[in-house]
Amino acid sequence: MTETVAAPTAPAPLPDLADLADWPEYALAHGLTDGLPVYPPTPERVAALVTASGRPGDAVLGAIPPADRIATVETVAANAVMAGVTADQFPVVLAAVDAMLDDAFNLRGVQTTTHGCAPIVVVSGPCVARLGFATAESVFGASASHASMAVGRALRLVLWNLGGATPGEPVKEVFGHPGRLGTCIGELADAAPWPTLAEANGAAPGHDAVTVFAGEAAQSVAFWGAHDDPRERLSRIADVMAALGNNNTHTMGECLVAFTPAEARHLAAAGLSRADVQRTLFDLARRRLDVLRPPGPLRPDHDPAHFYDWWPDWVDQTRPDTLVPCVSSPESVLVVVTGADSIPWAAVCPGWGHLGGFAVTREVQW
Amino acid sequence: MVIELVDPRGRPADVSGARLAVRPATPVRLGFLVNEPGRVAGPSFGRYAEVLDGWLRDRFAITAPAVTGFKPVLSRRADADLLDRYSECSAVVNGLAK
Repeated sequence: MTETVAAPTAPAPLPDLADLADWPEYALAHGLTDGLPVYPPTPERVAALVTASGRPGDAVLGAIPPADRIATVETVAANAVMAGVTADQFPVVLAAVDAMLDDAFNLRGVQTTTHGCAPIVVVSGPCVARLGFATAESVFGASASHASMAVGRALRLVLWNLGGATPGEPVKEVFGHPGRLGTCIGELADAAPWPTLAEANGAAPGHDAVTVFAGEAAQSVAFWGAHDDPRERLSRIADVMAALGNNNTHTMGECLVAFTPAEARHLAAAGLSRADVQRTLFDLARRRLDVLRPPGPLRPDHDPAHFYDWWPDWVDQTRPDTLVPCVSSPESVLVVVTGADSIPWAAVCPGWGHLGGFAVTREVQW
Repeated sequence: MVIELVDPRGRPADVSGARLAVRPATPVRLGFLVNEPGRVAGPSFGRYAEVLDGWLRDRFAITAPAVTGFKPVLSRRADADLLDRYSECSAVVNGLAK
């Protein structure tokens, strides 16, 4: 006997809303927001964003997991309106949704994992300055940038309303972090001595692009007591990257490292290119095998039965003194220059490890 | 007066026409699908599956060998080839984590 799978049930139609004054409570009562207030997605405002995109409203971007509801330009616009996105910002939202649907990002996993990784949106190109994305003080948080807050919130609402990303069921994230409410930063180009992350990921120089990466909250790296030697300074970043409790340290994957313009200039003045920084961090951010996987009753030795098969073959798992890198390759260190152009500083956003959430870049289609 | 709104929740993906595998009323074959092949923290799902397999065999008089396998990457869906191996199973137990 076989059975035909019933089509997934569409959400119950929204009841009538008689008065816009009731909208905030209505949105909460019907689960249209994660708790923060939102604007009402009226047809006129949604149509304005659709028109600005230059694409048909029914153009399909894909199904947003885990609920697998269809993201069209119109439904994404409805969520963008709720977040306060303006017409000139909306193409950035569409590019970010498209990037998150790339298989490398593993959005289904990012949405439902127990781990506290959340989409970090990095905007690059001339639109960063033109639209006012956050690049200065408080770049990862309350930056007072409407563009960053609105675009970040729009993506969160897409994942909430179209993806059905409700904590508990199906989202199993144990702790999470405030960045899941929406994280969107701008990447500095003029003040940075290196190519941008977007360019490193294939975007044409000078073009507007969006990169999405699933990362933990930004962790501060201050250069207390450090000399000017680049390797010594980078070792402090490497120490945070290879923290014993994060996924990268045990499974590799990717890690985002943000440098303030002052620190980036310092390293560049010492002769380090972007690739040099990546290589040095790849070499320094390592842990001994016997620290990562100490012997114990259930794993008394380095028998191949206990090997981690997610590590590449060049990691010698038979030796306790093998130094295991915390990212898959030098290119897996996602270097971004942003933040206050005041003093040298850095920040590390560990990733989800080898499990997904890998950086995906899309050029913005205006 | 009714305020018009665009529903931000969209519509579900269309999976009509997809078919469920045969599910006999009495279990005849069990499947165990492990999410992670490596031993991250302990004896893992493998040992648990052995115990559960024996218990279910006794209870339902199952004689057919169980189908076992693991996903290459725990965070991703099993691919179609892997799922096909379980198509004759009456029930599949999925080990989610450690």
